[in-house]
Amino acid sequence: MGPLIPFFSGLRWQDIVDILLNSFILFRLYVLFRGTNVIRMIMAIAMLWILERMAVNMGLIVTSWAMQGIIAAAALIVIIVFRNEIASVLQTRNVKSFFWGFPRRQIQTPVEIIVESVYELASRKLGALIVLPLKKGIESVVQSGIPLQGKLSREMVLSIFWHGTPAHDGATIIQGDKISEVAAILPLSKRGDLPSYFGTRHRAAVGLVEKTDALVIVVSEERGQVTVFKDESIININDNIELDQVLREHAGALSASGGLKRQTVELSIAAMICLAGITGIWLSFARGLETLMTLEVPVEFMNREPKMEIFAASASSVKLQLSGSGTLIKSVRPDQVKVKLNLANAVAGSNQVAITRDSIALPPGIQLKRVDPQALEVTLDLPVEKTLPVQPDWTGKLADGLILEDVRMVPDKVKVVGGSLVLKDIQTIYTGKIPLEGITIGGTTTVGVILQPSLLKLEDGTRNRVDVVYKVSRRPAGVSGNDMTY
Amino acid sequence: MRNITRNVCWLFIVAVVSAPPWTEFRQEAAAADQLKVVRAVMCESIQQYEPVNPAVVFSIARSRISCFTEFDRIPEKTYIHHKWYRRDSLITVKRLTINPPRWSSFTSVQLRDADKGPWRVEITDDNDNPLRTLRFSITE
Repeated sequence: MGPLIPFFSGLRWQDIVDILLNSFILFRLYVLFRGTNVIRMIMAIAMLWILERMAVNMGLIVTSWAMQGIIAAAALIVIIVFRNEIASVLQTRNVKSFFWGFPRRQIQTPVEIIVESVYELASRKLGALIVLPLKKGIESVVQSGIPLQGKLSREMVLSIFWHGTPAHDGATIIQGDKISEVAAILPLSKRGDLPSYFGTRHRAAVGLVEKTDALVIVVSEERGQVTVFKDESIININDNIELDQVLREHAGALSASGGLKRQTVELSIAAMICLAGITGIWLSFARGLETLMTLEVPVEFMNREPKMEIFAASASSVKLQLSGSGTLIKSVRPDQVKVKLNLANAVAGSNQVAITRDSIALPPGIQLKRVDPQALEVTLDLPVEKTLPVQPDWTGKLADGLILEDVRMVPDKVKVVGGSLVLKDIQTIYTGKIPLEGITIGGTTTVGVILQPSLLKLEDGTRNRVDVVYKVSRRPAGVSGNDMTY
Repeated sequence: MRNITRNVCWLFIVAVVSAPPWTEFRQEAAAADQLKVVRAVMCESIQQYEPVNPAVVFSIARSRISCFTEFDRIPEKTYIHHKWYRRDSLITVKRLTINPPRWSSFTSVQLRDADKGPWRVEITDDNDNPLRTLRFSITE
C-alpha cells in the first residue's frame, strides 16, 4: 500500500470524477454487450493492446508494429462482421437502459408452454424450428428474422407454424417469455455425417448449435418427430416429459434462483475490473514519471480597444516549460496550449503585460513550470495617416569637378500609415541609398522608399518607388568652396 | 422725416454690403508686409555675402557647409531660425537677426565623419512658422 500513496497524493476531485465516469461508461458498455460475440472480440482486442504495450516497453519494434496493425484490423473486422449484433443491441434498448438498469436474463422461460406447443405441433405434423438462445448472442449468425416481441403462448406458436402462414418457414426465436423473432434464417451445417432423414430444418438446427450455445427444437413435418439439438448432441425426444426435462436443464443454468446471485457476482466483478482498469489507465497517463518539455507558443492578444492597433510587441511567442507524465507530455499538441494576453487595461503607448498562469491554457494533467519571458512589452497605438516629404539618401562620392546642384522627387510626398506616437516624431521618408559613383550628367533614377521603423506602411495603392530627377553641373574654375570669407 | 430715416438706413446697408470686408483688407495688408524668402540654398561657402557652389550633395571632405538665406519685405527688425537636422534628429538651432527692408544671413556647421547621411535645414520665423526647408546629403 505504501508505494501506492505517492500515486494518489494530490488527487483532485476532477481526477476522481474522471475515473468514476469512465469506469461507469466502460461498465455500461459491458452490460449492454455482455453475452454477445462483440464483447468477446473487444476483450480479445484489449488483450492484444496489453501485449502491444508490453512489446513497446520491451523494445520489440516489429512485434509492436504488427500488434498495432492487428488491433486496427480487428477493430474494423468487429464493426463489419458484428454490425448486425451491434445494431440489434443498440436498437432493442431504450435510452434509459444505456445509462441504468441491467437486462435480466433470468426471466422464467415458460417451459410448459413450449412443451405443450411442441407436442401440439408434433401431433398435427406441423413442421417447426424453435430456437432458445442461452448466453452467447445469435444476432450475428441469424439473418432476416421478422421482429415480433410477442408474448409466448401455445396458440401463438401454433399460428406461426400453421401451414401456409407467411412466417411458418424459418425459425422462431424464444427469449424468456417472449417470441422475439419469426421466420429467421439459420446457417446450414456442412456436416456430411447427418442421418439421411434429416431435412433442411435439422441441418439448420445443427448449423446454429455449431456456432452458438442455443438449444434448437425441430418438429419433423413428415414424421412428427421432435428432435432437440444442443452443442454436439442430437436428442430424439420420445415424450413430453423428456422434452420438459431437457428444456429445464438448458434453462436451469440461468433460471434457477442461484442465477440471479451469480449474475450479481458477475456484474460486481465486471464493475471492479472496469474501475481497476480505468484507474490503471488513469495512473499510467497522469502519474507516470515526470517529464519536462519546452514549448514555444505564439501569444494571442485579446480585448484591446477596437480603435487601437498593436504596433509592436517585445516577443510574438513565449517559451513554456511544461511537466507531466511522459504519456501526457508526448500527446500535447501545440494547438492545445494557448497564451492569451488580456489588453483590456492597455493604453496607447508602451504597456508591460505580465504573463500569468490565468493567461495560459493547458491540456488536463499538464503543469506549468516556467514562462520565459514573464512579461511582454506591447505597444498600442492609434493608426493615423501622415503625408511626409521624400528625401533622397545619396551615398558614395561624386566625381571631382562636379556639383549635384538640384534634385527633384516625383512624387515629392508619400502618404504613410502608422501609429500616432511613432509618426509624431517622423518628419521625412528617406529613399534607399542612391550611389553617386557613375553620375556625370543629370538624369533620372528610380528608387524605393525605406519605411523605418518597419511598423510604418504606405497607404494602400501607393507606389513604393519614387523617381529622383537630378541636375549636375561642372564646378566653376577657380572657385573653391573652401575659400570662405565672411 | 420717416422717408429720410429710411433712405439713410438703406444707404448704410448698401455701403456695408458693397464695401470690401475688413478682414480681407487686413489679410492683403499683412501679405504685403509678410517676410519673404527670396533665396535659400545650401552651399560650400560664402564669399562676398554670396553663396558659393550651391548644391544638394556635399562631400565630407569639405569639412564645412553653409545655409544661405536672403529675405525681402522685412517689416521690422526680427529673428529667424536655422534648424539643422540630421535625419530627423535636431543637431543645432541658430537664431539670426534680420533687418528691414532686405537682408541676407547664413549659418554654417563643421562636418565630422559621423555626419554622413541625409540632412535638412528648416528655416522658421520668430514664431516658429516654417518658411522653407532645404534638403541635402553629406557623403564620402
